[in-house]
Amino acid sequence: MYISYYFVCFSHLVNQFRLSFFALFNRMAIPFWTLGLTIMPAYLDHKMNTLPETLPDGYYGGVSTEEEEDKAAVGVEAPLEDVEAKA
Amino acid sequence: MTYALGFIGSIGFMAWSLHSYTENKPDERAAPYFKGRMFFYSSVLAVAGTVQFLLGAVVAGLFNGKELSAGPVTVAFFVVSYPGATMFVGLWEMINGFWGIARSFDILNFEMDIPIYQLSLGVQWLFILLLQDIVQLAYLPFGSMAAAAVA
Repeated sequence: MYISYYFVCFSHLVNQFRLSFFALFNRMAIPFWTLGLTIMPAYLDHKMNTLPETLPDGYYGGVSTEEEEDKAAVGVEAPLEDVEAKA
Repeated sequence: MTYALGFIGSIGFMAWSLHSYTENKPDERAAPYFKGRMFFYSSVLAVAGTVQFLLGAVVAGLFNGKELSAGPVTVAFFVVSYPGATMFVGLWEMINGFWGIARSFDILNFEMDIPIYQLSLGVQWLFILLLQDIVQLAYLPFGSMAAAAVA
């Protein structure tokens, strides 16, 4: 009888902890679930309005032409005025 | 599904952008690419808002405001304790969604000093947290519908 009583109490505690855990987990997860649907249009709208229609070479600082790849391979940086002209 | 698309898409989008950069193809991510993505995610937002608005309208019409005495109405991930709040948040999402679709076609793309569309979406998230999550769940008994509170 006492064993079954302790078992019931233990099950109750586990159940309460499970409910609290899931409640806490869901409340923590709510901002992340809803943030994606909200932030994506805002981010994409900003990018589509600020980026050019075609990206010039080296827009993100990457090496995109064979000549620049060769220079990067031997450690020679492109002249500053070339980069500014392309940007 | 729309919330899952927005959630997973926001993570996957950044990962694929980094992948494009590391593959030395950042030029694929120019303005036209973002316009196409903008159309898709705005459509998802518009669908989410429309569904939520219609759900609030149906609940308000069916139960005539008496649903609170019998407990909240749960449909999929939505918990409706107050249909008016559900309709309001859904309407705001729907407007932002269709506005975003229009902006992807260069319509209603106002030239303003303040980012009006981003501010509208920020207010939308505030309303989602307050009216869709906290207010709708606050009425519920302890933890009973917490697992369904994703939206």
